[in-house]
Amino acid sequence: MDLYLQYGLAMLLFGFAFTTLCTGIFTAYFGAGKSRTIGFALIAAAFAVGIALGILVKSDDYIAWDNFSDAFVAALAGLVGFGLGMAGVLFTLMKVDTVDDLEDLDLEDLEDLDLDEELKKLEDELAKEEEASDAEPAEEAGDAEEVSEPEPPVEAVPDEAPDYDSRTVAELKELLRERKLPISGSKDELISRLKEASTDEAPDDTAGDDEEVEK
Amino acid sequence: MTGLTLTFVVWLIVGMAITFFGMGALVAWYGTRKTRTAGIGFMVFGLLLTALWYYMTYMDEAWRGVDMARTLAANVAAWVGAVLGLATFLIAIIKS
Repeated sequence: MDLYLQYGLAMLLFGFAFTTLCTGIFTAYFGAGKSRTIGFALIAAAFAVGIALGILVKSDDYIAWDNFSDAFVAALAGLVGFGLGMAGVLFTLMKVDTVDDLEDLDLEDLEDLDLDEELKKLEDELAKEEEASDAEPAEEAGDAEEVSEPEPPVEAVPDEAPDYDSRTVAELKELLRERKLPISGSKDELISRLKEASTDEAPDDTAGDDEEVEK
Repeated sequence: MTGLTLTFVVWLIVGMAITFFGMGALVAWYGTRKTRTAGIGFMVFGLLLTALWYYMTYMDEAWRGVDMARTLAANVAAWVGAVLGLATFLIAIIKS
């Protein structure tokens, strides 16, 4: 038999038998029912091919033992070289990607972080956003009221009433909540509601608006 | 050094050279800025291994006993056999 054919055929049969044996053992061990039967069939096929290869090598007319061993060592060395190369590449890539990133991380920044201060900042930002969102509908509502129903003059409120104009919407709502009054509406409405509550102590005024109370 | 040892060493170097060069090309092409440099490094290392293999096989008298063409046929056939075995397993599982 041609030398190339000897090398090629020997390793083709060996590679096939080895892979079939490995997959057969895997399937027979982990499989159940039909899969296990297939596993045993694969093992049987691997043994059959292995025996055929053994006969070819033993007869020495088809595949010489020296050629088989030379081909086997070459294939094994190629596989080992492939494994070593992959290990080298993966190890280096992991080092490059992870270790460098960790070195870039400055833990002192985390130690200096004041969580209470950050929380306070976030709360302030939230309050500002809430105020801004309340101010927009207030302008629209104010325009509509100017056309349909004019607001009662400010002079009607007694002088001893607290100065609600300087307070924020959030503060006004908090005051309304304390008095169990509705918190919906524009800033002017909130102020007038508070002023009414301070002058008139009758609870009937807010009875109809209970549904609007924010829960 | 016996003939089998020579064959083993030569094919160990060839296997590593192919892997380093191939993986290096992939990493250099698809990698990020940081890994691209590593990919080019792998390719250079693969080329160095190839140069070493070439020197050993064709320049140095002691290594000429390794028949590259036949052992290459053995390597290719082993991989083809492994793929055929795997295909047999998959077909058997899927068909069942």
